[in-house]
Amino acid sequence: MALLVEVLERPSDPGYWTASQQRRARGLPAQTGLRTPLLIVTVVLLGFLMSVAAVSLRAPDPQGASERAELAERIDAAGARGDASAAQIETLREEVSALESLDTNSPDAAVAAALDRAGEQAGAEAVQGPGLRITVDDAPKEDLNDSPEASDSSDRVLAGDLQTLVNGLWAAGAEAVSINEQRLTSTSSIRFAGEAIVVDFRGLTRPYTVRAIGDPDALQAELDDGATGEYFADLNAQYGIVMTWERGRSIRTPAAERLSTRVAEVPGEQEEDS
Amino acid sequence: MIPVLGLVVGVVLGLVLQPEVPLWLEPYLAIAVIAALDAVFGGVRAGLEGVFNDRIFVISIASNVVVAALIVFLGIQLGVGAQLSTGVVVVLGLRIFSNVAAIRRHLLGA
Repeated sequence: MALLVEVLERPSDPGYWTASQQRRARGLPAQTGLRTPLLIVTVVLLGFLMSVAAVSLRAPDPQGASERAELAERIDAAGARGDASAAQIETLREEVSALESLDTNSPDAAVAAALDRAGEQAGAEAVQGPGLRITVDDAPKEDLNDSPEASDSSDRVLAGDLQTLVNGLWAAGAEAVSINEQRLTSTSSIRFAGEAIVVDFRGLTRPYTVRAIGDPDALQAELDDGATGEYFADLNAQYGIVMTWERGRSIRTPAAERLSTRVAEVPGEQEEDS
Repeated sequence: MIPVLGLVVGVVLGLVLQPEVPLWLEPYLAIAVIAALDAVFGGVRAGLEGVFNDRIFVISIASNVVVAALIVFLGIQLGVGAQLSTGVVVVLGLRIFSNVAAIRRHLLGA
């Protein structure tokens, strides 16, 4: 009730009224001056209290923000360095292949053709041709709202899902596969790092676009009726993960950025040895 | 005018000195500011009504701050510090609003 009276009637602080009445009774003016030392000291203290409170209660946030900004800056810088290195790799590789073709063109066309083929298979060269463009994405947000008790990660595309898809595509005769412009080679990895899917140590963001070059009919059959198709139909039914694909007559996969070979032997010689 | 100048001097002092506030004092600091604000608006209103008294003003600030801090301290000891802080903020906020409404009526006639 006191609270309601406070809101509705807005009574003044009773202390001021009684004090002013006492002063009137003693023949003084009802109001004391606004320049008494007591008042000035109190007001300075008040201002001090307010600014100290504001400064000390606000302090942690700007600190955290500056650290966050610095981290983001470092990530951006490292990303830019990585991109620059990738571009450099690309130009150097083009140089190498140009030199190779110079070297091999005249003496032996068969060697050049073999080199080209090996380059395509190893992912050293960008490849263009007919194939499928497949888009895999997390469950739509409406589904998440419908079932808040379901854990977040089950509605997401996992690294294992992409591995299954890519393996199915290889098995169905894909000649070149890339995920979000990352060409997959025989040494590529698709992994989880925290919450992100990492292909060849590079984090990807959804939606995941898988480009596969190969016989479109065979690839599509694998996605329609094959084991991969069944797997994703299950994912869609249980978790709402979406996979769509379209055929393309000239799909392009870029060259791989990382082409490190640890052990290399000429296959012919190995066969002779064994 | 003089009190406003004093307030500004205090604010500048706080900004210049930037004293280190111990961690245990921080929950009381915000409550103390709000309690002091309530007393300040009460004082401004009394001034506009012609009954301002510096001793009452100082005592109301001190008692507001002490009582608010006491309530929060009790709340922290009982494990309901956050809820009691909210309660203090609500009550003082209501008082601030009603005082500001009265001040507005004096200054603007609305």
